[in-house]
Parts: sequence; structure tokens; C-alpha cells
Amino acid sequence: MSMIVDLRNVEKWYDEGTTRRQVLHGVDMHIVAGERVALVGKSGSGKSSLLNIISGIDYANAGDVIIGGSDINQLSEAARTQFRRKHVGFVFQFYNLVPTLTVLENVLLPLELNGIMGTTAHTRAMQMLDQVGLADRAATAPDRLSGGEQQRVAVARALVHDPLLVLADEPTGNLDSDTGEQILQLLTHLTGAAGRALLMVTHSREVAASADRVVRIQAGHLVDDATGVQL
Amino acid sequence: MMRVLWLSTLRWPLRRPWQALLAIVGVAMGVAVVIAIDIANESARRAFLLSTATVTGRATDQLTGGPNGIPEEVFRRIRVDVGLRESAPVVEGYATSVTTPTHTLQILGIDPLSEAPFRPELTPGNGLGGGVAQLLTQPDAVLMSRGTATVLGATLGQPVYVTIAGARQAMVLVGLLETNDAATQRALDDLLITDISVAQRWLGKVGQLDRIDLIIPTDARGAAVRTQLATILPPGVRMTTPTQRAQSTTEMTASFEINLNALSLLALVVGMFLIYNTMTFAVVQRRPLLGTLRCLGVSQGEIARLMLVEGSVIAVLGTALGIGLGIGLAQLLLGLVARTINDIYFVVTVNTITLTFWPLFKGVVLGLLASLVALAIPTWEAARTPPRTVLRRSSYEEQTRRLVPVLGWLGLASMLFGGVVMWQIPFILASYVGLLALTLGAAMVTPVATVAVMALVRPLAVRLFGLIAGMAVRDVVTSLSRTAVAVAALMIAVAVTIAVGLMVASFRLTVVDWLTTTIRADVFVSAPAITANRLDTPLPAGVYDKVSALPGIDRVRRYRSTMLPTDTTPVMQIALDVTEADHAAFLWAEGDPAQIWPAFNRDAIIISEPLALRHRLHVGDTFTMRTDRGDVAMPIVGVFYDYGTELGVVMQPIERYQQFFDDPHLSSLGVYLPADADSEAMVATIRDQFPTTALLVRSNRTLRESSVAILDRTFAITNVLQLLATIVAFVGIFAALTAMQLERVREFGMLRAIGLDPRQLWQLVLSETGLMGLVAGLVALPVGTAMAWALIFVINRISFGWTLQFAFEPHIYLNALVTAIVAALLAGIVPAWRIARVAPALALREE
Repeated sequence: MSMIVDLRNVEKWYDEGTTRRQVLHGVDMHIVAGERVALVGKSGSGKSSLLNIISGIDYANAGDVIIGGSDINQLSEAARTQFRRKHVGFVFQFYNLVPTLTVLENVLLPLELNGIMGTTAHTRAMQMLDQVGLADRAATAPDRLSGGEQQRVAVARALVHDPLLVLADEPTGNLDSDTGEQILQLLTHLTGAAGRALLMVTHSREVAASADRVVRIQAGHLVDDATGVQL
Repeated sequence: MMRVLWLSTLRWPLRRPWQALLAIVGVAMGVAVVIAIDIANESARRAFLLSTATVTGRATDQLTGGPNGIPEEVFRRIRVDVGLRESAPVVEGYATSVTTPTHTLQILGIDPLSEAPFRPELTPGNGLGGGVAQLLTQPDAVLMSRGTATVLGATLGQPVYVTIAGARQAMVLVGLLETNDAATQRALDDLLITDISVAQRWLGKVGQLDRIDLIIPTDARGAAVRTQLATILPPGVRMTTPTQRAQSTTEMTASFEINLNALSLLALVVGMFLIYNTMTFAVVQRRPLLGTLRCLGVSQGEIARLMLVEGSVIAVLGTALGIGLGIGLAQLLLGLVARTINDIYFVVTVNTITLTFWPLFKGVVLGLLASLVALAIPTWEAARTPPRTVLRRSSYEEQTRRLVPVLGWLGLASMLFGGVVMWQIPFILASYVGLLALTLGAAMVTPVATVAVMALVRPLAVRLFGLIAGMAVRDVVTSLSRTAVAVAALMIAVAVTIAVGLMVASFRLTVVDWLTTTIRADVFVSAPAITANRLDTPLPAGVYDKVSALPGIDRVRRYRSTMLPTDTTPVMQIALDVTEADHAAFLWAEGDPAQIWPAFNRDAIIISEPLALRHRLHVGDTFTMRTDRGDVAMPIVGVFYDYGTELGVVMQPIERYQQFFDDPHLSSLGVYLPADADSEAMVATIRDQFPTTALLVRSNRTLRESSVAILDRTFAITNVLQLLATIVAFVGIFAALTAMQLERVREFGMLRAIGLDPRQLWQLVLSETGLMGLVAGLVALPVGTAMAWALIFVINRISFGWTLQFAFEPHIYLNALVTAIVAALLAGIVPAWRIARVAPALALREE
């Protein structure tokens, strides 16, 4: 199995006036292809900071952040943007679909960003929508969909360009338990099937239980690493 | 860039069409005002040049004389002694329509026998055919265009009446001027062609010519002709080219045009704020979306391009609409521009606008450029949107608040820079740069002022109006990234209103004071003139003697006012009687009154402040006057304050004037009465003395009133521009506040859900917008005063050379404050109404 996420001694702090607030302390973390990992911890424990660093939307102050073989912490802002575009898929708690685009166009967007256009893109986007059960809503505007449907579109958008890594931030946090369960199944099934790595930030025991491995973070330290079942 | 990415942005305005529409309207109005002023100015200038070119014809050179023109004898010598057959005498003047006194017609007196080489279109029928022969044979015969005939109601062979120098004059239409060229045909409108002898009689210029047109070849024969001409021309007669003459006339209006353009640019600046405002809101509203796009891998450059394209679409649509609106507005403003030119500078008859490339091109460039400048900061803001939620709204506002003191200092520095530039660099362009720096600096200081005012207001607001008022105060500060821009835009618009209001008031105060000091005679007698601020139409012969002989008169003061050509623009020459009693009528900018009058009576002249500034002249220098005896350098002994014309005035005793100019005419008389005399009765007495003569006889009070009326008339266009700038600003503040409040519909839904009733929501929204209006109004007071200072003491002085008093008018400040608050409250009504009507459940729904 190839290593997708390889964090070595990652440190993150914020300077606030004369004081320094350390949010991550020497974090080491590894995720291999096809692995589904849940990152759990209390509010303010450093989950989001870690997710931001892994996704390349924030820098680590120290340490190596090697994703898919590249140390993205050494990349420029433009290069990290290109990296995200190609290798990362996002699923957010509040879906964050583009309200001005239809369902199909939302799914087409990552393909176009990666230079995949025309019939190829259309076919692949429709296949993805079919997989999340929304092919018949392709021309619908996002605000016409229920929360669960919007999250399914978000899943399709996160996976359509075949990223190495899918990052999901509280993917079921805004959904009822049944719908959340469906989304979880969809997410784990589709990422697992394609051999992608999945990192989910969550407070939910159900979400954590569905992961292959659960990583607990506390006050910026990784304190526990166990299988979902053990948890 | 990718199609879908484009769609994500380009569809955004469709979701908020009113917001996009208001931005388009804002840009359109800014562009419209700028090009309307340009088109109106250009149309007036072109109309003047075209009519000049038409009446000049193919002349290569022109001979012009002093105030009394050229003796007819000169023409005879050119023909006989020099043998130049291609020469044509001309007498010019103006008439007005009897039915529409504001409609001015140009009289062109020509010699039909000399005309053929010069103006073939004015002499139809090969010079002597058609109506031209009748010009020579039929008394009071005229030729005019079909359009003019229609306006005057003239039919062939029938008499028609016009007013010349206040008197009714009959003329007979004997032929129509027609040409196939549309531009020339337009120039022929409002032109009355008559025989030179008839024109001389009508205009009181018997024996005189206004000019002699010449066609001098460029070869050796031409050089010989020029040499010969130089030997026969009397000293006061000069040779110029038609282009030089026209140019020096149109240059008279340069300051007027610059100032109109500057005021019109203010509308564009306010329009710039509008597009800046709109795009800033577009960025703020879309921050989460932009963050998501950045997460998905959209680069900063792509985000910047998206915003630029969206803004450019607004700019292009706004500019295109502005061009259309501007053309319509130009037609409306043309009348005001032409009236001001006629009142102050020279006679121009123009009724329709002329569309040329440059004003439209300038409108397009300025509209797009202004929009791009206004787009720069929001675009940069959008591009640096961090991916997703690294920066939340609250931390963004926190960052904005941290920027406030920095902006404040930068603003102060910008204002200081503006002040220093205006104070130290006496050039008009530098003044406008300084004024712009002052304005932008004030806009940057506005956030500090907003925070400070809110801190002061909050305890009082809570005590008087309760928690909701307190919430409103807090909201203004916590949403500073949005409120500050809207407050700054409104502040600038209100400051402009204060500045222009104070400038007009200062001008009025200064001129009224000046009129009180200088207009001392009890009754004034003059000939009616076309140009309101000039008295260069001579009084009919005998008026002075007859008025002087009337019983009940202390003394009669003589004035002769003429325009003197110089190397640049003409200046006004006033020759007058000055006795010791008249000394107090002068206020001195330079010179010692004890020395001025003896020198003035000996050989010196006094000049007006604008002339001194324009030509950089001081006491002790000399001014070279082109007289009928040749150029005479006269020493300057004093510089007096004068607000009659920015072209400048040269004053000398009337006896000396008559020594240097062959001009026995007078322009007006000032009649002084004993202390207890009834001036209105004297006005009636004088009028009775001249029952058949066109004379303007006015009392001191009437003359002052009519002078102030002319002054107010010249500011009519300023007031229109000020109003337009205010409308643009109102559209801006309306758009900003509506966008800002509607964006918070979810927050208001929450407040409704926890128990606020619609009335309380109204109160909250209107308190917030009202408070923003209050801050804008309060900041506008000192800013408007500083801008007024710049306009009055720097820009006016450089443009026109006038020293003005500063009129502190409390009502202008009060009006501005009330305007700011009312505009903000009005702008809050629509969002308050919409928000109060939204069901809480709907408002709480996630978009």
C-alpha cells in the first residue's frame, strides 16, 4: 500500500500579540491508500488546524507534510492550489455547493479545473451523480435539494476528479442520523472502492466507528490511534 | 478559463439583479454627467467655430480694427492702391427674435459685389443672381436659411421683425440660403445676410467696417501684397488669420470648461465609489463561496479574473447606458452652457448638440478606467480570500478593525499631502490632484470616525431608545468592513454638496459686497447688449448730453467698455470718469491708493486682479495696449478686486482712451442724484426723454438685482451638476445599505424567532442606517469645509484669478447633516420593509 499522508513532527502555532499559542505539537501521522481514518477530538483540540495543514490550505510552522510523495509545506501558494485541485477532494459540514451552478455543473467544476472538458467530463460527472443517486436531478439548482441530497452532490464533487485524498469535515454533522448513515456509507464505499485515502474529522461515534482507524487528538497532541471497532 | 467556473460567477448578478442594476445605473450616471458636459461644451465650441468658418469663408487673412472698427477708406485703398481685388468688407452684429428674445441671430453685412471669392454659399446665384441682386436694390433685404425663416415666421417678400440693440427692426426676406452640406446648413441657421450699408445702418456703424477679409496668395505676389498693405494700414488696424481670431475667442471659455469638467468628474468619482461599493459587497457576500472555490483548487489569479470580468460587465453595461443617457442629458445642459457663454463670454447660437468622437471616447475610457480603478481593491480582496474557513467572518471583521487606525493615519497623511500640493503648487492640475488626495484621505479617515462616533453615541442611544438602539450602534461597528464603505460614499457626496454650496455662497457674498461697493451711481443708462456682462454696444449719440442737461442731477459719469485683443485672450478695457468721490468704489489687491489716483490721472492704468494673475503683472510693470495709434506700454499703478470677468480688465481715464482710440462712443452712463432724490422717478424721467430710442435705464437697486440674477444664472449649471452628483451618491448609498441589510436576513430571522416584532425590526434597521447617515453627515462637515476652502481659495483663484471671501453659512451645514440622515433613512426603508415581511422560518433557512 502506498503512503498518501505522511506527517512528520508537524508543529503549528499562532502568534497573538506577545504570546504564542501552540495548537499542534510534533504530530506524526500516516494514512495509506484505501485507508479510512477518523480524526476525533474536542473542540479546540487542533482537528481543524491539522485538516487545514493536510489539505494545504494552511502552513505548518515546522515538520514535514508529505502528501502523495510531495512535501506540500515547501510548495508556494500557487503550487499548493494546483496540488489541491488535482489531489484533494473536500466534503464540508454545510455542503458548500456553488449556488449559482446546477447539480451537474457543481460536479463538473473539479473536472474542468483539471482540464477535463466536453463529453468526457459530462459522462464522468453523470456517472458520479448516478453513483450518488442524483442523475435525475442533474439540472436542478442546489437550493432545491434537501440537506442529504446536497451532501450527496458534495460527495460526488469531492470524488469526481479521482483525488488521492478525500477530506471530510463533519460530513454528517448537519444531517439526521439516517441520512448521515447513508452519506457515510456512500463516502466510505466510493473512496474505498477506488483505493483513495479518506480522512474524516468528526465528533460522531458512528462516523468514527465506520473508519478503519481512529486518531484522537488532544491539546494538539495525537494521543490515541486505534481501529474504529476498538473505539 | 473554464466554462463552469465562469458560470459560477456570471450567474451571481442574476441572483441579485437589483444590486447589479443599481451598480450599472451608478456607473451610467457618472459617465452620463461627464460626457453630457463634454458634448455640451464641444457643441457650443463647434457651433461657434463652424459659424465663424462659414462667415469667414475662404479668407486667408483678416484685418481688424480697434473698438471703433476700420474706416471704410481702408477698404478703398486696399482695392485701389494695393490692387487686391480679393478683399471683402464685413460688418457684424446680433439681433434677437421678437417672439423668442433668447434666440440670438447673427447679422452679417457684406458687399455682394466683393463676395464671390469668399463665401459662395452665402451668395447664391453666382454672386448676383437670385436674392443677391435684391440685397442691393431692395431696402432692408435679408437672406436667411429656411430653418431661420420658419423660426421667425418669415415669408419671401414680406417684412419680418427682429430686435437689434433693443429696438424693433423690420427686414424683408428676399432669398433663402441653401447648401447640400448638412454641417454648413446648420451653420447658416440663425444667420441674417444683408448688404453692408444696411447692416451699418441697423448696427449704428455707418462709415465703419468690423473687418476686411482677404485672400492673399502664398507666392511672391502675396508677399508683395503684404508689404504694400503694411504701408497703408493705419496703426490700429491689424492683420490676423481667421483661425487665430476664432481660437483666441474660444480660449476665453477655457476656465469655465475646466471647472465644469471638474464638477462633472466629481459625479464620476462618486460613481467610482458606487462600483467599489458594489464589488466589495459582491466579495463580502461571496466570501464563503470564494473560500470553497479556493479549496477546490481555484487559484488566486482565477478568482481575480472572475471578479474583474464580472465588474467589467457592469462597467461596460453602465458605460454604454451612460453614453445614451449622456447624449440626452447633453441636449438638456446645452441650453445652460450656451446661456452662460452668452452671459459671460461671447455670443454663440447653438440649439442642437453635435456628436463628435472625443467626448464619447473620453466617456468610454473614463467609465471603464474609473470602474477598473474602483474594482482593484475588491478584486485583490477576493483573490486573497483564504480557502474555506481559515478566516471566519468575525476574524475578518477583527482584521478590518485592526486596519482602522492604519487607514486613519494613511487618510490623515493623504489629506495633508493634498493640502500641501494645493498650497504649494499653483497649477490647476496639481489642485485637482490635491483635492482628490484630500477626498480619498477623508474617506480613509471615515472608519475611525465611525468607531469614535458610535462609542460616543452608544450610552445615549441605549438610555434613550433601549437595547435595540444599542444593538444598532454595535452592528454599525461590528460590520465595519461593509458600513465604512457606505458611510464614506455618502460622506463624500454630502461633503461635495457642502463644498459647492459654500463656494456658491462665498461667490455670491463676495460679488454682492463688491457690487455694493462699486455700483454707486443712482441710475444707470446703457444700450441693450446681447452679452449680459458687457456693455460694448455704444449708446446712441446725444444721450450723454441730453441726460447731463436734465434738472435734478448732481453729475453724470461716463463709461466706455470695449474688448481689446491681446496675444492670447482678449481683455476688457474700461475707460471712465473718476473723481475723488469715486475712489471709494475700488478695493485694492495691490498698490497704494494715495499714489494710484495721481498716477492714473497722469499716464498710468489700473488692472483687475484676474488680469494681474493671468498675465503675472504687478504694480510697476507695464501693460501694452493695442491702440489706434499703435502699441502703447502703460504703467500699472494699482490692481483692484473685480468679479465682472475673469478675462481681466484694464481701466484708464476716458480722456486718455479717446486720445488713443478713434472711438467717440460711450457704453453707459452713471447718473448721480442728490441724497434725497427718488431714483425710480429719475429712471422714468430719462426713459421719457428717449421714447423712440432703445435704452436700458435702471436704478441702482435694479442693476444690482439683475447682476445677482446673472450670477445665479451662471451657477445654474453648477447646481444641476451638484444635484446629479447627489443623485448618483444616493443611488450608491441605497444600493450599499440595501445589500448590507438584506445580507443579514438570516440574523433578522433569528431576531424575529426570539420575539422581535416587525416594528422593532424596522426600528433596528432604520436606527442603523440613520446612525450611518449621522456619521457621514458629521464627517462631511469638516471635509466639505476643507473642500470648499480648496475650491474657493485655490482652484477658483487659479482658474479665474478671484479672491473670494469665505461665506460661513450655518444653514448649508444643517441642510447637509439633515440630507445625510434622511438619505440614509430613505435608503433603509426598502430593506426594512423587505426584512420585516420575511417569515422567520424562511429567513432562517440555510441558503
